[in-house]
Amino acid sequence: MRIVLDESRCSSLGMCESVAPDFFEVGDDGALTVLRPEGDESQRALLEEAVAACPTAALSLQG
Amino acid sequence: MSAPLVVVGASLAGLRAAESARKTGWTGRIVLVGAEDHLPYDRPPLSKAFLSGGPETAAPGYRTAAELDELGIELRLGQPASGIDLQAREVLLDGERLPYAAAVVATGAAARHLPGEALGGLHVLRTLDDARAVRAALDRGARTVVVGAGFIGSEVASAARERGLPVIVVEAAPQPLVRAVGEQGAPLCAALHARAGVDLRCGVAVEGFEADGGRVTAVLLADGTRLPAELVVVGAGASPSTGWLEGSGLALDDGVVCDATLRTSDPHVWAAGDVARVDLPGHGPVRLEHWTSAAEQGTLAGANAVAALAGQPARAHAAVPYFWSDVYGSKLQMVGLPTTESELVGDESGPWLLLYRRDDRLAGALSLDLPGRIMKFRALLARGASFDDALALAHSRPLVSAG
Repeated sequence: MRIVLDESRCSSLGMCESVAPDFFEVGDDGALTVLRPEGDESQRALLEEAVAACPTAALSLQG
Repeated sequence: MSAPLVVVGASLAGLRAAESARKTGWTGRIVLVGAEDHLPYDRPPLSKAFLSGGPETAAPGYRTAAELDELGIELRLGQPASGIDLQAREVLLDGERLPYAAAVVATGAAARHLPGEALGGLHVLRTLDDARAVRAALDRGARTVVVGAGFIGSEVASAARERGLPVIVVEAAPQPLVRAVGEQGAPLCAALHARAGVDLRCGVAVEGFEADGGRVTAVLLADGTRLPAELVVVGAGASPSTGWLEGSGLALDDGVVCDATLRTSDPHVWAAGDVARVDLPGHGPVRLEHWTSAAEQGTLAGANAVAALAGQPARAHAAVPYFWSDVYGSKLQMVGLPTTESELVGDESGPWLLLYRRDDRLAGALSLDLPGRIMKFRALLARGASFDDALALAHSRPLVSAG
């Protein structure tokens, strides 16, 4: 599945990084980097947790 | 057919509990009861973006009515629960008894009011209706006095300042936020007001108000000062909404008492969010008013309620507390819990990191403008890291401001 980031909603709160540090990292400049844009089925639960954890609903999954 | 799962409280924790129950396999009815006459909506923006100048942003909702319907979550909005009958296993609404197989209490907390009569222009800030009123006053260019320099108060002051409106913040305690950020953190946070050119007056209580035609015209302080104002926002904390549970037999102590799995004193009732006093492993009973706690606890309470009904074990809450506050263009972030022993890394002018210790362990961390660093400390907390490890991590690279 593909990670979709709505940058207009992202305010660098970092919950995604906390849940899934292999996929997300907030940089020193405050910008979020999606380290790996795709995940496989075994990572669905983890990525769904990261999506749900975002307080500004900036993340979603496609596929 | 069994009775429904009833979730009382239709904000973040309640919504997550309902969704989680459905997701973890509950095939019966789910009823979501809420006192407010709105679909569940998000509170943090109400003291931030929602108060900004410019066109009014939409009410920050979560799911649409159609999405909730698709999940088979029945809504009873604008219907405050009046009680719970633990023996009969029924939630009491006005003139109706709602049977439950299990119930989740997620009724949150209510903003504290100052004593005295209601006045136009005098507001707390908790609900969407409160936020609309505060925003309208800011739109009218109100001179603003904020009572209470906690996070809500500071964010309101920040919104007023951003619009170029005169704003004064009055705090009864000698320093703001001592309970939230500790003795060393309090002056660091207080300094943010002065840095933004906002007048913060500590150690002075509000004695009363002047009004004209039922609308506030000035705030009267205990030291005799009179502050003219058309908008007064009271940010004096919140009390858990447990009045409806008094006399029910459910254990209450500044919130609904629950164990680490969010189970209350009754085996069929669970609690989550601002209303829940949770026995957190390693911390003892704590009632957190964080967005992440409401989301995580709601999800867990819903899942545990379903698991317990199926005779399966309930899971303990393990997430490390986290909250944030956006003030005057800066970002405060806290992971873990504050203690009385702390160490500052960085300079007071920011960015800075305040590490809290309990014995030789890291207990929490508070940062200013370090969104790229703070979550590493949440990870340390999750694995019970030592304070020395936390210090080493803090010093491993220069602190670079994202402000």
